[in-house]
Amino acid sequence: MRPEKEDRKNIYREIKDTLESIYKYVSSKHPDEAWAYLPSLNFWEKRLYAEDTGEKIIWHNFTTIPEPFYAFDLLPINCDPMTAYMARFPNVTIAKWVDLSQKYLPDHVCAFDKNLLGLVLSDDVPFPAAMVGTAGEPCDSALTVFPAISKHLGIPHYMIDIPYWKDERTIKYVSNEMKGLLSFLEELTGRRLDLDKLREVIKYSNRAYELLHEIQLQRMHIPCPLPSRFLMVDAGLMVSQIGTTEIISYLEKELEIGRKKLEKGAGTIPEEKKRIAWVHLPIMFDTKIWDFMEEGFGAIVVIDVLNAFKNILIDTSNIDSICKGLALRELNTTMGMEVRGPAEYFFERAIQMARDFKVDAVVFGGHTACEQSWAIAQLMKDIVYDELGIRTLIFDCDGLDPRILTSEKMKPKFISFLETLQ
Amino acid sequence: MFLQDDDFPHALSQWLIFYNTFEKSIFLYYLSSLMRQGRIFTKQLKNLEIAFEKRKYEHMDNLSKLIDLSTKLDNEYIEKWKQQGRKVIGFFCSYIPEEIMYASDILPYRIRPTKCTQTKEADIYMSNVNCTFARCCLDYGLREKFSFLDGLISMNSCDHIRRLYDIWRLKRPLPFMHFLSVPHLNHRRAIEWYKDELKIFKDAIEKQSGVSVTQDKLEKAIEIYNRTRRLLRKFSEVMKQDFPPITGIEYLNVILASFVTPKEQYNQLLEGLLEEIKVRKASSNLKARLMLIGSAFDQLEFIKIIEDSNGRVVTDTLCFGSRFYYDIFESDSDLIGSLAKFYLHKASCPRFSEAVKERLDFIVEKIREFRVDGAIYQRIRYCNLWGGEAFLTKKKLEEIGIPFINLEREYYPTALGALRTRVEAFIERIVK
Repeated sequence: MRPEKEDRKNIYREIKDTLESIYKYVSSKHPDEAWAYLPSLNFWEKRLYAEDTGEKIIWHNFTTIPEPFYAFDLLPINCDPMTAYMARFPNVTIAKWVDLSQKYLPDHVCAFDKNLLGLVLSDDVPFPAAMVGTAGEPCDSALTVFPAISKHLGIPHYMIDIPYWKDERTIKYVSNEMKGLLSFLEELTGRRLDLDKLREVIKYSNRAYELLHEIQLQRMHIPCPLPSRFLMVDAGLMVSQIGTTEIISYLEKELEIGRKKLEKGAGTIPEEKKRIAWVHLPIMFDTKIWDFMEEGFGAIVVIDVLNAFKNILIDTSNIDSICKGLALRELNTTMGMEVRGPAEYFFERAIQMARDFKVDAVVFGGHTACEQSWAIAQLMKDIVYDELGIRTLIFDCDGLDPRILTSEKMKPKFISFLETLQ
Repeated sequence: MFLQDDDFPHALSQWLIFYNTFEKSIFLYYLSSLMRQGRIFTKQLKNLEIAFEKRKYEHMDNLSKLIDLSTKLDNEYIEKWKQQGRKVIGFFCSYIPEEIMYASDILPYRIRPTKCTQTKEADIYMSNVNCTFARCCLDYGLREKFSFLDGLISMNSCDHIRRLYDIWRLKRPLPFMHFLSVPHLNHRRAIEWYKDELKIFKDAIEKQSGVSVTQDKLEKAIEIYNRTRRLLRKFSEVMKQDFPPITGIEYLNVILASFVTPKEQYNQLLEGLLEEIKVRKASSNLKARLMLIGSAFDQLEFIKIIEDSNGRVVTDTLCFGSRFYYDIFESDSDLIGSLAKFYLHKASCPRFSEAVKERLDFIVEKIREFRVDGAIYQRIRYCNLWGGEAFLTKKKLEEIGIPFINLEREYYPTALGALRTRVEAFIERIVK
């Protein structure tokens, strides 16, 4: 029997509180950047009061694009950024929920999924109306645990089947999967799809893609006009709020900051010495590690894998063209596309990031549960070196759980690596 | 006597007199002593050993033959198959329709790194967070221990297997390499997708073997495979007896042999075995009837621990067990389409995450059929598919009052002492 709503903890409130404290920290340290956290604050505020307003929340996984949910006026929550915010809870991070889940799941299951199950089992979160995930990416953890949670809760869920390939046949198959998703949402909401509403959502998301592409071009400049810190925010918004107007104003503002810096010929840090591509999951429990690299070594992460979006603009002429566009986006999600198919997808993206962003070094901070990436990390390192002559730092950690490797223990790895690059 | 190559056939027949009276070790010891004395050459000794093995095999009963086949990487059937100019292709995993290969005169060989104990070569590439089954397979692949293979087929079964294929393909490519994208769902669209994948697969196989997969040939292959499934189902029935005449180890050995033997010959052995076990005496040392749940399991040491504690594995839902033979294929005129449907709907593993209910129903059905007292859910460390679903299985078995234990292991035998303690405690819990 679930406790009454008033007696339950609501994790959305804690996330909102954490975001407020991050906002305060950034306001004091980088006052010009504090605005960047406002869209996320508004996002969580809306979810916090959803139970009161009667709006339906949908949980989806990292590699499920959110546009279809906005077209049905649903409130999507991408569960992985939710866990990423929780990883920054002062002192406790996600330990409580991960530990609880480990009564039921082995320790090697991804912390994103363990945290979600822990939240459900602890009753610390309002349950969603439905869950939507992807089968085939990003990993086996997500493939089993995510739908298992919906079955445990007894709520409707939909899995988008993603094949291994990326050819025309695959695009057609995933287009039909997207149509299946739209039908599922019609059934869930009891409403027919409003094509004009979907067009409007796509219009906003197209604009966001264009803006992000321009931001990526800015980041390719030497020196880089935008700080590493924005990467995490950009990725979080792109996978959660794309299809809304809020993300557009956010990206426009970021672009404007970059433009001003470029006009002055200045970089975001006083002296850019090393440019880094972070080709795997960033450290989410402590983004100050990037400040440490920038301030201590003039080393800036100019791109990470979560921001390696491909600029895919959707033709809104008809439902077929829209679903085809959604399928293309689905097949090119970050942390989806490169880990789903043959190893070459992973190598190509790493090489492309390193080449396009003119980096001096690559970092593979291997999230322990990303077994599919770990299996080819060594090969990737060799290939990046053979192709571009660029060195890669590989180390194991858990991007969400500092108990595996703390920031303090991580720092010496960077120090010795960066020293070898001198 | 100093053997010359010309004398060899005659000498062999003389030497082989020993096989009926001597154990192989005594025989080899005797030959080695002759070699030390310079009376025979190393090559001849090796040939004698092979001949000895062949003669010994001919005189085995069917159960011993099947056990022998299950514990070796290659065997005389593979050798004969290749001598006839036909190809042998290795594959991963349960959802690849072997029938298509068989119809094209290719022997499908389900990869199992038998007797693997370490993964040094594989560890150059794969990480310690990759499962030891994948690492063992890769290790054998890199060390060319499957030297008789003419090709390798894989699929997106799990994160480890698909990456092991990537590395094998990039570092030790075999003449034929093919990958199938198998859907994770089994709805109409998924079946259509898989049908297309199978058409591509069929074309690639035909090109490789030079033999067309005609309707007749495919029907015949399907018939042979269905025969195997029916025989194995019949064989598994003996485990329903109060005191089954075969052990859990033997049960698993018999199924494992099917992965490395042409099915026609395998069916003959199985038919012989079914006759043999009619008169076999059953052991009454049975305290608890157990089910094994999980994936790629061929660790006989594990079952030995169970059976040393007077538990008996009477049924399973393993990739290398009942999930291979349980479903019988029913075809219609569209054979490729029916194969696609069959393989996406057969008893599945957690990669079909939507089929949890069917999987749990399958477990419950077998528990009732085989009067199971307890279920051992064993999974290889770092397998997130089986790891992620364990809690739903536990919940289901608790509902029907079946004791459940969730054991983590490596692919190869290790930490057996700790395992023994847990298994013994589990069996005691059941017996109380």
